[in-house]
Amino acid sequence: MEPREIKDLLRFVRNAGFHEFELRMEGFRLRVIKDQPLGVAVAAAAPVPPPPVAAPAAPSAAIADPTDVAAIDDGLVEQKAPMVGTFYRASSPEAEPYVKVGDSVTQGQTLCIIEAMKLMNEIEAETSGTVVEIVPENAQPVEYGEVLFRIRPS
Amino acid sequence: MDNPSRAILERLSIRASARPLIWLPRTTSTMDEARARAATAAPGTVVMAGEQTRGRGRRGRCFASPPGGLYLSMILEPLPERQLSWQIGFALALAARQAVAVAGGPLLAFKWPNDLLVGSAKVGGVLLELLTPAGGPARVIAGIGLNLGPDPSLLEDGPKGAGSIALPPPPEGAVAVVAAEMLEAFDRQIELLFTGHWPNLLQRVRECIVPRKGRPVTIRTPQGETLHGDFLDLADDGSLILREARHGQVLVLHHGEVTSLGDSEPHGKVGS
Repeated sequence: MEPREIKDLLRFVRNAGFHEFELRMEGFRLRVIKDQPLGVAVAAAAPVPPPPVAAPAAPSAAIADPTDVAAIDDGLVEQKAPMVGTFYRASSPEAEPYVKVGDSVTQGQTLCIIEAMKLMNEIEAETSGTVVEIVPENAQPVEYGEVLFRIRPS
Repeated sequence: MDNPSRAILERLSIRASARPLIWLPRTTSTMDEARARAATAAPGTVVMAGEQTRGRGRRGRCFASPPGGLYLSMILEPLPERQLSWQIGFALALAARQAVAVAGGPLLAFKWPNDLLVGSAKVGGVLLELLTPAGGPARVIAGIGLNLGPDPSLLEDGPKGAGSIALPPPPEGAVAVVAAEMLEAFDRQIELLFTGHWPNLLQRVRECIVPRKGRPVTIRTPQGETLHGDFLDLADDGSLILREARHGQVLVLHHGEVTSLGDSEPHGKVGS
């Protein structure tokens, strides 16, 4: 598929009422997620089988809203990604991670960085408690709404 | 370095000169200073420094910041359309390009997603930080460093591949001229960005981006992998479209950074 065709598809999805759109062709998969009213996210443009390098892409730097924190059945609180980008556990490759599993965190404490196109967004804890799980690997791409941390509220 | 604040403010329009301008002869990083003031400073506040001792690049990297360069961070108004956050970096890069040209310098090329080049030498960089305090409005701190002084690559332990922007004399006035022109241009770009004219800005970015369409490029992903291929275009949101060489697949990237321009040639007149 040529770039122009991809662009045409993005325009089509933007103007259509879809929230999510996926096209599968032989040797090709394109997934588009519209996660904000003004944003269209290209989640992947990759052949099948999957490429050696993950290349999800999504343009919306959507910001956290209260739904980014969700209480789940076992009492844990899920903190979700407020934007698409790359998940970093530390401020630099040499630095210690902001938090580790088992750490106590307070509301407002920095948990991680999500970066997209040199836009650095430090993600702060929405709730105080103990970190039970850190879901993405360091330097892994994350999608809007993807669970980053599970925290047991204090 | 002498305080250029007065010279900058004298060059700004009445509207632009209303913004607070903080000058620090020497500091760790204007990004740090702006961030520390973000909660209380008036929107539009500019923090400049004559020298940075720990100028910040991406992911903890150091941006060499000797005296004579332009080091500036802005605390922007709360974002009216927060989805456009990262496009602010493109707007700032375009403003810097325009300012350097007005000051009599070379036309800077743009290397995705945030570097400014003369030829193949990096002469500047843009960095954005999005602050999303709980219960407060999101704000962006936009920072830029431009090598208007000595070539940082010539410094002890200076960065390889860096260069400096040659401007007409007198050198002591260059920072004020470029800063004032850039602030004015940036205001115009931001107004365009938030009034639905992002496609126009994107087109300007396409006109000064290196490599050119169809030329080879190398990209390092956040996972540490290297992608070789041809640069096809920028997507409508500013992501980079690459035809990866090994499998021929077309990738739309908003992660990673261009590390090599292959044998591509920069656009426009470069050098002074």
